[in-house]
Amino acid sequence: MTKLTQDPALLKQLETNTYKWGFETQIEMDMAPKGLNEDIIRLISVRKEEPEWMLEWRLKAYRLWLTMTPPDWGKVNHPNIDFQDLHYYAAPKKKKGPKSLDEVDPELLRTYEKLGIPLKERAILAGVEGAEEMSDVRAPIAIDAVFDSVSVATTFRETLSEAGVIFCPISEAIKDYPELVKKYLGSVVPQGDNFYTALNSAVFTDGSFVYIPKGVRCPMELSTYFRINAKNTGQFERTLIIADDKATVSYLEGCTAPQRDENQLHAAVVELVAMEDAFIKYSTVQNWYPGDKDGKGGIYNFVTKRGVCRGDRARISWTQVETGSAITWKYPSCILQGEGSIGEFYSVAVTNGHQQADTGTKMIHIGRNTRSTILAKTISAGKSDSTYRGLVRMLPRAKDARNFTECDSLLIGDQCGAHTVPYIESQNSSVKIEHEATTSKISEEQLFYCQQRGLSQEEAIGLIVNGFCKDVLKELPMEFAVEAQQLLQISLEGSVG
Amino acid sequence: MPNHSEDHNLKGLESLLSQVRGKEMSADQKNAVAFLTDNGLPTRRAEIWKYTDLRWVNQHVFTQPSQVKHKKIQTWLEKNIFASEALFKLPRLILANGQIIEEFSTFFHNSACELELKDYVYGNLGQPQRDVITALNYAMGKQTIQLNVPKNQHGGTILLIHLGYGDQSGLASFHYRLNIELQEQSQLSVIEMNAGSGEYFTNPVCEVKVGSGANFEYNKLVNSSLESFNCSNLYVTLADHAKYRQFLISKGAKFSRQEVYMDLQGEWCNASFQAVQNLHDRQHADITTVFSHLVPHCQSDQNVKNILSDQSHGVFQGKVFVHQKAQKTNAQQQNQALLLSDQAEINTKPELEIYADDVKCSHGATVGALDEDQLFFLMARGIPYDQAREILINAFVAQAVEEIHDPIAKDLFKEQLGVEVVEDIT
Repeated sequence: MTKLTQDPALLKQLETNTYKWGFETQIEMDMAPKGLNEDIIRLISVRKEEPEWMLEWRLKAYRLWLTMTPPDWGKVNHPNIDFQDLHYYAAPKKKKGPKSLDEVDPELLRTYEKLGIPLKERAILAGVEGAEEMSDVRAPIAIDAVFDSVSVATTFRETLSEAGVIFCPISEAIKDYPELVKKYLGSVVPQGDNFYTALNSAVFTDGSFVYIPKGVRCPMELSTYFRINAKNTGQFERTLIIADDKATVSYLEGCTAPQRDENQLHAAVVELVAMEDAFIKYSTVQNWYPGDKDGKGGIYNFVTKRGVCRGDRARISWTQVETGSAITWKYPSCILQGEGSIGEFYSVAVTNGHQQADTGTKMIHIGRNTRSTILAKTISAGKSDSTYRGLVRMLPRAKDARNFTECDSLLIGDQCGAHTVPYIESQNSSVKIEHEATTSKISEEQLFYCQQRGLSQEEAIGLIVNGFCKDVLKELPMEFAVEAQQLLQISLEGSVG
Repeated sequence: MPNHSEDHNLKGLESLLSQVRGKEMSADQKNAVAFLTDNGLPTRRAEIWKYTDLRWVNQHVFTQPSQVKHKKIQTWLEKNIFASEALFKLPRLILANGQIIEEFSTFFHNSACELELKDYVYGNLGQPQRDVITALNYAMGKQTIQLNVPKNQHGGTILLIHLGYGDQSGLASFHYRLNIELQEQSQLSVIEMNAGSGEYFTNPVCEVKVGSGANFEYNKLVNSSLESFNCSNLYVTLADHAKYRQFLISKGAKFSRQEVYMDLQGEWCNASFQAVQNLHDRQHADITTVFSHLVPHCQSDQNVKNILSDQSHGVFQGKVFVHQKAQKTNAQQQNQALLLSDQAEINTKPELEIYADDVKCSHGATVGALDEDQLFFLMARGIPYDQAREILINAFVAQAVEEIHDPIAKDLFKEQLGVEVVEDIT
């Protein structure tokens, strides 16, 4: 392998070669061959036109990855993943600007339609020439759509740049803002943090980059749609959000994926950096394909999300609604470094069918007077298993820090499982930590009350579940809150009777 | 297999195992030795040993326990047992350095509880491979103490005293097995006291079977020498309508690890586990429990309190497992920690694993210092700081001690924890 990479002739060939391996059936894809080695990483780096330091960074991660083993402490079961049996690079082929939406690949449009993207934005996303001028600035949401690893388009960039906000695909940021990327990439989640972060660092192809300068309040909600489209492609996005002093940003991440038979791997890394008095709100709605009723197929979602409150009084808030994926392994965390900084975690995790979810958070209190709140609601139905796993750690310097944790689980049916695994570690006598958790089922009385007033059993359950999750849903930005409520209802379809 | 017992250069686990290597062994014992030889000791990478480090094992040379002079035992008894009339009257069984001392034991004569001393029995604990502490006991154990309460009998209260005395030659270790069996509708209360001086390692494994409708109360005091190490595993099975109550105080020992495995196997049984860990200096104490609800209609309740001073380290890992069949389970778990010093550390992991839907399960954990408002309230009424603090700590513990049913145990434990006996004002 190493011999191969040292051969300059071959490297040259790799650089110039257009890739002819395999097309995904409906949409033309540019794909790297299966498997992972240093050549593939060089290839990715070349395709992304990255500078040398980035390649070195990736290779370092890859070498770390080779020495690591997948984590086995989560309460999830899945067959071993053959990491050599995946494509590590897949991008929709670049077409020179279609003239109107009619010329755009109808498959692509149909997917957008399912995602509920407004027509005008669809045109922009599909790269229709002149679409940007057409768009009335109706919905003030900026979208960076990640279509299998490559940001197809970034909308509203101009509006944002007027405010001084940088919002672009990370691949562009690497080229355009190397100093910022160099400074922050891997500073929250180091390459060797865990097996999947090492993998991600080595092969990530795209993701979003956000930089909010000092004192700026981002004029609109930033939003990204991640979808997984091609077969057997792992999606490895990398998101980096930096809010400088006194900056504020709200970032939405919505995830949907078309139905697929084979398990797909998704190992993303999200890094947030909040400086003094900054506030980052990161919301996720995730409803990837969970597999069919026999538990076949579905996405493996192994994500590392972490934010650090660098400055004093910084605040990071994670909100997530997790309804999809065959397996979810995800712990959005906060490192509370700055004095008086705040970490929040609001989560609803719904599992049905054969889904497995092991999700939670980590709150690491380092600075004085830091505060954290954890509110996790877990709903299990069908034959699924869901686990809340959370860590609250108070370090010696975290004088007068506070934490409050509430975890509630709701079980629907006797075939499912709900588990709570909190870790509480304190090395400080001035802190206060409270944790409470309950597990129960939907009360017969509530169900009877609703049904007696004419709701069907399913509607009644939907209503009760929405009430159960209300405390979390109200933390979502409004556009998402409605969607999330519907999602809950859909996810629980067929869970009763 | 070569005989290592002459080799004085051996350290740690190997110096312990060399005491039995080359001798005649039963199949189970061989398995346990092989398991320990192959796997060694778990590190903190193992989830169940995340917060407790067994490294000390390999920093010591283990030796055979020495005989304890009767004079020493007598002195201890006079001071701690004979001084109290209630304790003096109880039938008692005394072990010193893992050996039964018949001269001072009295309960062979007057109890509805039958005692039998046997060679080590390899019981139904399942796989010793599952747990290193049990495996150690399997590998090293020589004797089983069997207590039996026949059907419909009231076994009364029994005092079980385990004294340990270390000497300079190395770390003496005691591995014995205690089996307690209560037949249908019987009753028994056991008070266990662990005490001693010097450096030693106690490693008992205890198996308790509570029969249908039987009632067992187990009050255990770990007040071993502050230089000693204590690793104890307890396996309990409960039949239908059985009742189990345990109270554990952990205040002695430099290092203590108490594992409790509770299997609720019969419907309508009830298990209650209360514990107080009161630690000072550099003490490390760990309580690890697994409560398995396997059938419907059972109830369990765990309540662990930590009071941590100086540089002490308290650990609680509790798990409630509810099997898919165990509908109508009612399980509760509470862990509270009071940190009295900035160097003290608490690690707690109260865990729920639930597969049945019609259940009521909850757990709670709190960590904090004494409430300043409460302190202020008392001080505003003229009570000096130190005394106000004491009153609050007292109140924190007293709540737990009130749960003890056995009046003799209650008085003893109150005294041990320094809880003042406050008469109910109402």
